[in-house]
Amino acid sequence: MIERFFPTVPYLGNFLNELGGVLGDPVNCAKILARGEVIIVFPEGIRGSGKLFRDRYKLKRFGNGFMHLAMQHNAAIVPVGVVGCEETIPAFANIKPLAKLLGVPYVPVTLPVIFPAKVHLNFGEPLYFPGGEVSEEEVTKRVEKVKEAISLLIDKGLSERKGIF
Amino acid sequence: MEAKTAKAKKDILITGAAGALAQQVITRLRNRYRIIAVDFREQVYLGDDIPSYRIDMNKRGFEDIFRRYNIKGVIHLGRMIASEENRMRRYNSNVLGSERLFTIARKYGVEQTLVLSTYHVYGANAYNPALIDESAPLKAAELTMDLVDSVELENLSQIYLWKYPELKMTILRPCNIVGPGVKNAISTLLSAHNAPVLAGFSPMMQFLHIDDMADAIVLAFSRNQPGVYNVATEDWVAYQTALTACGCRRIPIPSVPPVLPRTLASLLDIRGFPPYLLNYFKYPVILDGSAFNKAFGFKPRYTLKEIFRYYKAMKS
Repeated sequence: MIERFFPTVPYLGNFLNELGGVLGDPVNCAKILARGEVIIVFPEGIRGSGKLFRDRYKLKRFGNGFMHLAMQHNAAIVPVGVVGCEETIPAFANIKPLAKLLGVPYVPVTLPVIFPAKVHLNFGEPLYFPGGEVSEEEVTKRVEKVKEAISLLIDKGLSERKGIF
Repeated sequence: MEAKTAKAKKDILITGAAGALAQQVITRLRNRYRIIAVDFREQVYLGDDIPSYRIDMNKRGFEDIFRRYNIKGVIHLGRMIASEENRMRRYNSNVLGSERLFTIARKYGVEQTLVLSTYHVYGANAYNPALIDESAPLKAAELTMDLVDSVELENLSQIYLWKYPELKMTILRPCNIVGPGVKNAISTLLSAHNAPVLAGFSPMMQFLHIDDMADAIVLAFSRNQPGVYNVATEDWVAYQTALTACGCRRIPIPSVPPVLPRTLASLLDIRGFPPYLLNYFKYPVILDGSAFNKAFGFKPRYTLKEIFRYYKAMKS
């Protein structure tokens, strides 16, 4: 699932499409789930990919869309804590005026290298949430539960890793 | 005997008769119906058996055609495409002209109407889902005022579809129609030796051969199941890949900031690459044609390879 902003970035959108990436749009997700396929969701969205190095491993707000889809299609949510990616391309600042001028969400100040950090993935137990008529407040609470589960998995990964590389 | 057969044939009016698509449709239908051909651009000679008129639908004399013939069906293909004329003329012809056509059609008891729309009405938006079905909102108007007439024509046709069911309105939204004789933006680009591309963007596109589109129109008109349908292939290809397959040299145009390609497109004034269509060279608008295929048993005959081979052969 590609963040909605990525197709607007020259070359990146095409590259991701060529890898099989599909826009993270609710219509696309619903069609994929209806076919019994699996989706990888990054519920922080653009808030997560534009994070600065000093905010690493602090989860930003999650969108509620993935929870609605999971509930509608009775799909299990498997929380995954990813540790290591934040050290591969650390961003130290965001040039907001340039981002505004270019019409992009952020322009990170980073080093022109990708560090070979080791990535640790920790998978949690699948979470199930029943469908039916549920208030948005309840959906947000359910999203928080997923966020909490991911947070714990990230902490686990951070405490267990012996070194960055 | 021949005269008797001719008399038994139903009269149908086909607009946009000077266009390549309309002529393909006329070829397929001329034995089954008595065709009355009209076009606002020119009076085309289509044979002694086909009365042909050059007339603007907004002119008073247009109604005389309905007085003269007992028209029972209308195939409305005479739509000025976005690269033709200016915005106001397109609005007058596509929206006001079509409204006049539909009003007259009701007055004279037309029993069946088919309208050719375009996939442009969905708008090329970065957030478009991978497959767009007919229930998707028509977002083209929010992108550019230059496509307002296309969206308005759609909305007008849909009003007539629901409000006047006796007109049996079928609205077809085809993907890119290409092939011999087609002069729209994309066909112009595929025919060119050098074609502009937005650097870093190569959206997926669908291409439907003009023969297949003519078949689709004939099918939809013959089966007469009113509604709104996408008409598209189940195969798609990236724009830049299509250009290469057609033997075009790709000329990259800087794509950011967005004002830069818009300015360049205005200055270069390339027929197939107008500034208001730039988003269609940036983001995909891929149609889900399954509803039409299912309702009418439609299956395009031409593959992408065959289509591109034609454009490549043109250049050698």
